[in-house]
Amino acid sequence: MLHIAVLDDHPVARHGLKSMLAALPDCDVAVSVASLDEARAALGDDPRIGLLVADLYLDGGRPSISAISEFAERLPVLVMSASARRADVIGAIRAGAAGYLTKSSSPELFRSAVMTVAAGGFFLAAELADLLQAELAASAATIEAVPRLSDREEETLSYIARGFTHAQIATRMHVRKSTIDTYVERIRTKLQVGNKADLTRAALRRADAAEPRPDTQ
Amino acid sequence: MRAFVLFRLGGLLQIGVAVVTAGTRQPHSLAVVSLAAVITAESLGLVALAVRRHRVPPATLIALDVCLCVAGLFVGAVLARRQDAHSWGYFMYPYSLLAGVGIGLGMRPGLSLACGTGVLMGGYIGSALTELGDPVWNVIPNSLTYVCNIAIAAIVAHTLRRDGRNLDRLSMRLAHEESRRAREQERARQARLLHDRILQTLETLVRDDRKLDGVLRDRLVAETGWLRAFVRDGEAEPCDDLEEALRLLAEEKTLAGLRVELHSEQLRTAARGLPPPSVATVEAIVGAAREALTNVQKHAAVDRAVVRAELTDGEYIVTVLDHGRGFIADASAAGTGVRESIKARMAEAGGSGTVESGPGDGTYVELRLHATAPSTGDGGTGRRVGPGQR
Repeated sequence: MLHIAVLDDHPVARHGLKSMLAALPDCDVAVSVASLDEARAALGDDPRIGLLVADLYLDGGRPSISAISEFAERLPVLVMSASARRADVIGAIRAGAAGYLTKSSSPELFRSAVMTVAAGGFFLAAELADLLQAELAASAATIEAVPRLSDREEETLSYIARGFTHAQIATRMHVRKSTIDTYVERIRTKLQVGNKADLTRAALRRADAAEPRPDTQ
Repeated sequence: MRAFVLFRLGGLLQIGVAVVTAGTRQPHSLAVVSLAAVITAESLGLVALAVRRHRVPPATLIALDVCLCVAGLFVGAVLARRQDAHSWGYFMYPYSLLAGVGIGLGMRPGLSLACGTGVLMGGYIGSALTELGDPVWNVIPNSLTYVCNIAIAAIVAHTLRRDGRNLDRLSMRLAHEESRRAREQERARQARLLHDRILQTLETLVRDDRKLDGVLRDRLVAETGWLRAFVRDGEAEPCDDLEEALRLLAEEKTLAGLRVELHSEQLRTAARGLPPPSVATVEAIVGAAREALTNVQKHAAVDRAVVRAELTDGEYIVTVLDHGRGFIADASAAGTGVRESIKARMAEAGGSGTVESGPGDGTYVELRLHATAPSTGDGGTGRRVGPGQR
């Protein structure tokens, strides 16, 4: 049984998440909280929690990137936010989130993301892959040091951005699905490589510059 | 305008001082007083016009002013000849020096300015040599004072005009920007209200599909997609025409019941700073993408499709993918029609279109078209390795 914690300041969104998670096999929403303090207390009390599904904007104008970083050290974190801003998505992933979904994602995508992240994997949605490619292209043109993806990793990222599943990509690239999983995991590692505190600070700086509050979207 | 008025008033002050000072020593003839009165009246007229219009009088009036000045120089010289020519009696020379600034301020640099300056100089030289009998070595350096005054005034006026134009442009841009920001803020406020009060609830209802029957759910999915696109549009960064056209297409199809995910961040980033694609390029790609999405609606038996737009190595690549039931392109009449139509549409624009499909495998459409302008090459910012590039 997978015990899940839900963190979202919006009661309707929390209700919706609980409803969807409850429909998944062998899943149980053990904690449903609206604030970071409540989440810290609840997660501290309950070591069984195996996954945190968290909103990025919690009753404020700034993304909770540092909180994602804090929670990600203890358990897999799937971020589910209304924001599709590149700074938010990249910031959350670099802070250690194992997946990022926008609130317009389909139930199928949500279920798939929950299962992947709960199993310790990295869930790379098509929307996120598109953002990552744009970010890598933009970063490569600046002085910011970013690890370069290999050609195969880049190809994988592009196929994911086009909406292909890992199995379909494997067929197109004439490799096994596990190889694609490995490429995706390497992409994650390269994104999160380096001094994590520095990356988090950089993401926070970018997020600070992002106005107005994107959670309205 | 202020400089014109101040110099002109300075000139009149000069006349006033000269007339009063000389008058205390020797009574003026009627002719001297009349000349001073005519010049004063004309100058005050020009000053009044400048103040009323908030600008330097037009060049034609300045030209007439120059003619009057020249006439005044001759008349003044004739009148001053009877007295001491270098006393306050010949007030027209210092007056014309200050009035000449008006030529520099009112006439654009060029032939008219040179003519005005030349006429005024000539008037002075002629009057001083013929009527006053001044020596050439004195008259010529004196006349150069006109050139200096008018040139400096012209340079200052030119600089002020240029800076004024720049300031106007900046003010207009600022006003435009403020207006745009105000609109965006209002839209963001409305979007926040729609999002917080309606969208989250709708999306929750859509996800919790056990409570809804099929038709109502489909309708709700379409409306929620439309609302999400509408709300998100408020934060959209400036985008090129292709992205905007694809966004409109996605909204159109979402309203018609097919939920289209558009991924265009890579395109937006790679195309930044490059000229937008031609209208023909946008029309060809969007037309082919519309055809592909219509095909998904009619034949795929799914309600979702993914459209991805990118710019790689100077080539626009737009893909349309669904995970529907697919078709065997070579065997199905409908599939062949769609494939040939998309290929023909792209080929006509100088690009290429491929359609891959198989039973149960969904359909994948890939549209490629090089940016038409030679300068729209990659430029190094968007150069990434993509599928099928090697």
